[in-house]
Amino acid sequence: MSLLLQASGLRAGYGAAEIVHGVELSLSAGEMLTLIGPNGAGKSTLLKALAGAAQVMGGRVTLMGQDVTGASAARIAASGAAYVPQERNIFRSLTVEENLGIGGWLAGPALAERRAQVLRLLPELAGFSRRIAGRLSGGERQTLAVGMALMVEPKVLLVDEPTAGLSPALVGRLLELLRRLADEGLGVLIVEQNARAALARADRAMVLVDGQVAAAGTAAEIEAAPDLGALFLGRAA
Amino acid sequence: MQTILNAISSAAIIAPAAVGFTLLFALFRFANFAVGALMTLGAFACWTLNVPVGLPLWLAAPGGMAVAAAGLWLADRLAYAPLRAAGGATLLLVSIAVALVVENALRLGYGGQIRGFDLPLSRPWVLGPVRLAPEQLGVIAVSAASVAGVMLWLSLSRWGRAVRAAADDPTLAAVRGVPVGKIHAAGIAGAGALVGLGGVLAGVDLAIEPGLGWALIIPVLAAAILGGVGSPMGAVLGALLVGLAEEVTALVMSPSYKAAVGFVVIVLALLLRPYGLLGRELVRK
Amino acid sequence: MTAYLVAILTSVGFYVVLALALNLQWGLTGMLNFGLAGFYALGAYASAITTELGGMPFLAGFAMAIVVGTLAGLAVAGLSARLVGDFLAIATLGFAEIVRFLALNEDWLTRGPRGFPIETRPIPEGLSREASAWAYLGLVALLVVVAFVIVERIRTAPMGRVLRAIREDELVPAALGKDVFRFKLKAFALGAALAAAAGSLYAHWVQNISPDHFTTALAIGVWMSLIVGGTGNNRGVLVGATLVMVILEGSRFLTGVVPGLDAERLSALRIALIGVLIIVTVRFRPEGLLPEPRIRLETPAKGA
Repeated sequence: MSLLLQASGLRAGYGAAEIVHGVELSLSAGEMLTLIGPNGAGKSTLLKALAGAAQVMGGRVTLMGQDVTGASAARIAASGAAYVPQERNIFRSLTVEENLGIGGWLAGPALAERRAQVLRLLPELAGFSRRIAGRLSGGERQTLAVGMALMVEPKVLLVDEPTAGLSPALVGRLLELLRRLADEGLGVLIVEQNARAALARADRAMVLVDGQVAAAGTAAEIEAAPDLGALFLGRAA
Repeated sequence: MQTILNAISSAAIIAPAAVGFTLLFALFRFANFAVGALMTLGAFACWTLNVPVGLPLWLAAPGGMAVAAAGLWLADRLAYAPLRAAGGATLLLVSIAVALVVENALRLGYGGQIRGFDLPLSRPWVLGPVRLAPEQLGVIAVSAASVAGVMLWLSLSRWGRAVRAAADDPTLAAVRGVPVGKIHAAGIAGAGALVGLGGVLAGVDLAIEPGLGWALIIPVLAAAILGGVGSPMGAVLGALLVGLAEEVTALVMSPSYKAAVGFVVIVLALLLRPYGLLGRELVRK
Repeated sequence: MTAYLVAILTSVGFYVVLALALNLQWGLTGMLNFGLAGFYALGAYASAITTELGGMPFLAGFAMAIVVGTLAGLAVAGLSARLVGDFLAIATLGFAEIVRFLALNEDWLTRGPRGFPIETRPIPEGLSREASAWAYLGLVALLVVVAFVIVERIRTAPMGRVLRAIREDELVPAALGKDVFRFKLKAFALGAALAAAAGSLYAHWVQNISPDHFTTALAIGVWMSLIVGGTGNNRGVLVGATLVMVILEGSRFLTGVVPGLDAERLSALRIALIGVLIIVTVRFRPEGLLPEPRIRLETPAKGA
């Protein structure tokens, strides 16, 4: 497995506030890594820092061997890591088709080819490609958001709470979709509130508490850890 | 029948500027009152090329559009862009100040006299009960063509779609690699040219004088708001309805109230349908 | 010269009252009112109609102006206070223009564009020209003081805190159980009443009003007083209004000095100057000459 994304001693935040205090992280091709932890632990900030959407205050981030520490969101996107924000991740007034077109802005002339590829990975998109994105259901919307990110043929997918607000059935389907993408060879890093559902599909997991890694291991190990279970998996304390 | 024709004719004058206004609102999230004064600027620039310089109107009109676009760009650089984070209210106020500066700079340069384009005198065609002047037909045709062109560009071209995406959510557009700064510049150029064209069309029909814009900004705003701010199609529909309302008012009440129609339409539209006929709630920063 | 100064000071007074009214609506509460000229006009006409057509004394006209102003303020705010900032601005601008259209076209009531002559005066008859000018200045000064005290007291009272909270973010006071709509209504109506009161006094001072006196350009001058002086600061408003008047009046003397500047071009230059000043102030000194005093935060209860 080739190493795609690596962060060492990563510190990040907004303005003067440091939220992530020194995190080690690595992601390989074909691997799905899930970040879990209590609210306010800095999961989203960590993801945004990796995507260039939050301020990197220290440490080093490499993307396929290339140093991208502190690079802009656009450069990181062009270098192969696509970020899917939690909210406002689609253009509501554009059609699904047009959204994919904007997602593939960087693809230039290869747009048609990429679209065909994304529709192969996410065949459900073809079913509603002419609809206005703002009128999609929650699940369809998240699928489109992932599809848009895939338009630049990324090696790494950074997904922030893709299942927020979805019904339990849809949570499973969306996570299955991300699992499928990892099986296709992508490195998938997701922040997830539905810890149990995410652990069931991820290869590895990291628990973030107060901006630091409290535990890391295979998904099975994390799920089995008794104290963590009490804290984050909703078992009665 | 004549009323409907007159309504279409006044709608043709305000539609391009209303589309320009609505595009600017969608991209920058504030009501730009300087649109009226920029229409006047476009009309004066076109007049200068048409009368003193002596170019035919069809050659002078693009000049008027270019000057209006340049004026908008300058206003953006000097006044709006440094305040982009300040919020809609501040920018609205500043845009009124910009309108005052443009309008009175024109008055300073050209004086207050009334001017008109050099148009050949023509006899209106009489078709049964309807009278139609050739210039009127020209205004309607140019307006319809320009508005249709912009609409096609927005929905079919790569850059047009990117303008809509940047208007929808600039942050996400940037994340997806769209060059938002360039898109904004393109939006300013396009909207400025539309507004300038609106000024030229107004100049064909109305007297060109520095206060022209104040009389036009209200119907333009009314059309944009009625149609739903941010929706170009809505702005066109709004322009037609405002034109119709004006003509009907002139018919059943007194023509002196025609100018108040825009305001009544605005107030009613804001109260009854705050997001307009085709609009939707815009995400504010 | 003295007569000129007295006249200027009197006009400054009207500006100050209008600017204080706007400070209450915009400076404290954050409600964009571009229709201030409409309320000013409404007060002027209400007062003139009461005294001239109704044959009543000045005080009745003054009271009528305040009543009409308050009611119009309640109506406009009640209908549109729920609108977001810039749309409220457009609606209020619409109100002012409609008032102007009515004044222009309903000449049976307002005498239209020819102007409404007003005989009734609030000062005793038989005074010399000079004495009556001074007396008028005194009356306007009185109105300024009353308006200043009212707006300043609201600013420092608990109500002022709620209004500022509304200005910053409506959701916060709403979450604390404050009836935001009611507070906005009160602030707007009070501001409208002040503007109408100023309008009444103005009408009986100039003794001939026409719709031209109440244009958007006037409202812009008032806005500029507020912005230059310091939005939210009542003392700043005094400074701002005086400064604006000095610029407006002072630039009159440019005729003759600068060649080729006729009256029309001069007036254009002055208005353009106001526009430039607004842009420059908002960009480089958004807090104005006298910034809003820092709000004293209540010490939070221990352990809260």
